Amino acid sequence: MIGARKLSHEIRRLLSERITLLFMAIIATGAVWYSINGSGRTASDAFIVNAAKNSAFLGALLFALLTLLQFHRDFRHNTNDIILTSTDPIHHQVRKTLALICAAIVTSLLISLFALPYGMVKTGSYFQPATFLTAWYLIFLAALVFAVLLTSGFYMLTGHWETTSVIMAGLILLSKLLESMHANSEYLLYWVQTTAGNFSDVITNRFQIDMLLWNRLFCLLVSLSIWTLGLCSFRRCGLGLFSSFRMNCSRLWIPLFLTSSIILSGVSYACEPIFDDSKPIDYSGMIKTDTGETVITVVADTPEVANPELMLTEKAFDLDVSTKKRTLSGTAEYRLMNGSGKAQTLPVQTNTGINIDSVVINGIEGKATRGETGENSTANWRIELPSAYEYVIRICYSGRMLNNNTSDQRVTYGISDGYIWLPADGITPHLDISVSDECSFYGNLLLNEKLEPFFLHGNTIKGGTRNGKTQWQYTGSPDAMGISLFAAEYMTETFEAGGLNAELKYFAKHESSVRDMDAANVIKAAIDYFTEVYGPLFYDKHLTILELPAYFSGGFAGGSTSAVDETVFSPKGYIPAESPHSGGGIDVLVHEIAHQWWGIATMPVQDNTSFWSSEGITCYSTYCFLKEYLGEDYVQENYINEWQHNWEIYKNAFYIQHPEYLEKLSDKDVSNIMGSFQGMKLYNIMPLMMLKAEDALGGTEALQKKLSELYMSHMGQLITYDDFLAATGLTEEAISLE
Amino acid sequence: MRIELKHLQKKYKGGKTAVKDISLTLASPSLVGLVGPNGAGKSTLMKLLTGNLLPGSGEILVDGQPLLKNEKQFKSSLGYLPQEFGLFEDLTTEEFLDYMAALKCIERRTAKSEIDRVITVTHLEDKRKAKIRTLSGGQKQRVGIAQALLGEPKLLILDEPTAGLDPAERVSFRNLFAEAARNRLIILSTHIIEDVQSACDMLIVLDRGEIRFTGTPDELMKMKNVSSLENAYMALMEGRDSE
Repeated sequence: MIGARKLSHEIRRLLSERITLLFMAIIATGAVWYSINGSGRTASDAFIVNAAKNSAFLGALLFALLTLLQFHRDFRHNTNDIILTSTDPIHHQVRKTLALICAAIVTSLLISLFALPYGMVKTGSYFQPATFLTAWYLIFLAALVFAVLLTSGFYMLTGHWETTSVIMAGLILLSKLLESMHANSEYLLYWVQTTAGNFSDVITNRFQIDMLLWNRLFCLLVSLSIWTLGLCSFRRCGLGLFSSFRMNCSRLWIPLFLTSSIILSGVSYACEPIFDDSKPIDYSGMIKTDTGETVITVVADTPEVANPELMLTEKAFDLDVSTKKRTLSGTAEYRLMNGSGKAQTLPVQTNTGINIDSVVINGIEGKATRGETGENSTANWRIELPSAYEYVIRICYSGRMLNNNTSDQRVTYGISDGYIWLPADGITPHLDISVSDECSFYGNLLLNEKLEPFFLHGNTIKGGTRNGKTQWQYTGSPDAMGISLFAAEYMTETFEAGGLNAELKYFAKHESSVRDMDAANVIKAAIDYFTEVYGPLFYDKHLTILELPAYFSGGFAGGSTSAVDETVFSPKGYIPAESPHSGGGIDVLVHEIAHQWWGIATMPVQDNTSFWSSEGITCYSTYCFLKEYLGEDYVQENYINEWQHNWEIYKNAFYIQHPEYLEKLSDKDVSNIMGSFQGMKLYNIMPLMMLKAEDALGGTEALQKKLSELYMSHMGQLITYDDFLAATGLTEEAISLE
Repeated sequence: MRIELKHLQKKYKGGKTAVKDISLTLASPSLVGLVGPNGAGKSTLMKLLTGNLLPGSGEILVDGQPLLKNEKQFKSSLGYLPQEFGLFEDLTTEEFLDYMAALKCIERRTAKSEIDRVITVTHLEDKRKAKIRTLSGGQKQRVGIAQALLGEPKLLILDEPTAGLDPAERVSFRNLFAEAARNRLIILSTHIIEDVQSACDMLIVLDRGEIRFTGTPDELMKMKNVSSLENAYMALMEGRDSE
């Protein structure tokens, strides 16, 4: 009670000070300004998350300064002489820190008075309370709290305001600098604004919130460690650092708290539960882009399997997904042929978060041994098989998805109550062996009744209910590694286009936007156009356009599915975009549909000498459709001008003009520099070359005719640059931009 | 309350010895005057007595116990006015005293009457609602004295309490301290001999960290055979450089 009374007086004292009120007012004004002038890819980002992130930077800066002023002023003005003689000095430092944290809470609450109604009005039906709370309390408020803890900790530790100022300015700016550089490799370290972004308007943001929660837990524990270290070092009785440390640590709770917080910081870092220990992907021979868009890279040869002596003939699974526990458990049964009949090692791959609980081989219990983690969240397992010509192997597995810790540390895979995305080796363990052409693959999936599954390859039929969940029956192809499972509350619109049964699967919350945009007709028009211009898609009778969450940032085409993120379906002008050329909308939608012709049905293969790839021809195809659909002016502004602008940047780039300097650099530097130009080469320069090809051949129709011939003659095959030149009858020089 | 100083010594980092082997006993009720030239070690001794400094050697016993052993209990019975101090400028006089009353663990139900009492004795009634930043230097000094008096502490340590006060106020506070010393121990550090002569029943003269005299003011005058304490003090200090 006495402690609470002292704390309440400390809070009142702090909140009565003009400097505190001034700082709170500045932060609140900043928050209002950032809210009104926000931008982003989704309404949640533009009107809520980005405002909170920007305010967190301002708030952390000012609360660090306020903390420093509070602590240093009491020392400089000898206020401590009176105060610390009247009360316990250590308890007083604790109260001062808590009072500053309370001021931070009051600031957040005050800002919420504006930000909550503003966010609700601007995001409308897309408003998600969890997003608001995450933005303003998990990002903004937590940044202020960490600023208080770190500043007070460093001040008590060093005893110098100058040193503390430099440290805090460094920590804040470093966090900001790394965030702005998109150096996301260690998301736990970004304590101010975090790496949060691409919050969805239409589905749960559970995956991003998971990351933020762990980031905040780690940062809190580190901040508490530094603060407690400062408390241990608080100079008392005219003693120096070490004597004060010894004296303060005579209170057992302080060293205990310090030790606990340091240990827990380490544990929280080491046991980070979202990302795994994947090996970095070997990009040698592949292309790295700086655009953030996915480049489809066609692999020329069929990938080798680890044990070609074994052949899969049948695969069945029974998978139960718990959205409550956010885990899955399943059983997979495999039938294998062993040509030699000798004992074999069965290579198995799972997602790194999946554990193989038990193995039964031909009715006898076996053992799975986990080996090294590979690339792309692949855990490699080994099962020793006895001598036999045929095997029936039953594997029980369970776990929670882990994501690739390399690249940009984006949460892609996971299970939540509103959205599920599982990779192929997260659905069932993948056997790295040969697959028979007649191999069948089927299974049952148990899912929360409000979620509808969508497999990237294969068909799903809704069955009855089991254990209070809906059972879905799946049949598909077992050799498809990109068999990903998606599940959400989808709405489906089906229609005929280009002789195909097309369907648009979008998030239920996006119904009005999809209708307003007339998305189904855009898709139908695009499919009809490409079918007419290039030829029909033969490989499947179905084509699905699937909506993805905003965090995917872009789109992809795989199998008979073209997927685009939710920003495609935002009404134009509704969200203030970060860049006028940030893409999105109809362009991405058409681009991913065009990939069905160039990238899926045929495979324009990238090489290291030309700018040829599926991206260039897909961009060109998108341009052609939009020229007809939206008119010359639209494509001039959004395509040709943009391509030419980037071509100018490319040809004037220092290392392009002076390639001799590249010889002086290391291979890695050369690779990074040249890699940074790849986006321009694929997405801008190659389409410009196609325009030049149009001119050389006598117009759009002439080139499209040649492309149609190329498409029809290379169905299901690779298309090289030479194939393209041969089909069009053009030379490299004829379409060169130089 | 009984305070025993045993072979107390304090040396600062630069090598300067501020207090040299001081041993003495102070017991309530008493008003002890601590005088000495600038740099004599008065403030250092005060800080040692309040626990704001730790001695290099020797010890301070409060009622037989080492000072910092019962820090919490000791602080609850201590009122301290440092020579130089800062106040929270954005609080009013009453708010500041309320804040200090909470820090001193004065019960909520008695805090108000206690605040009223110290405001009255320090003549701050008309400044009760005034922000501290609007007070004059003398008024701030009175707020400092008021906070020291809060809770009627058994031990009052006042470092130059009348500095900055006008003559009338000085007399008034001198009387206040004399009155208060009837049932507690007050240690008054000052360079104003007048303050000591009229109010203190014990005088300690400190010079270069050492005690040059301990006794009553009358005893010092008698020793130096002069009629005023000021002259006795001057006589005591004369020729100290050659000693």
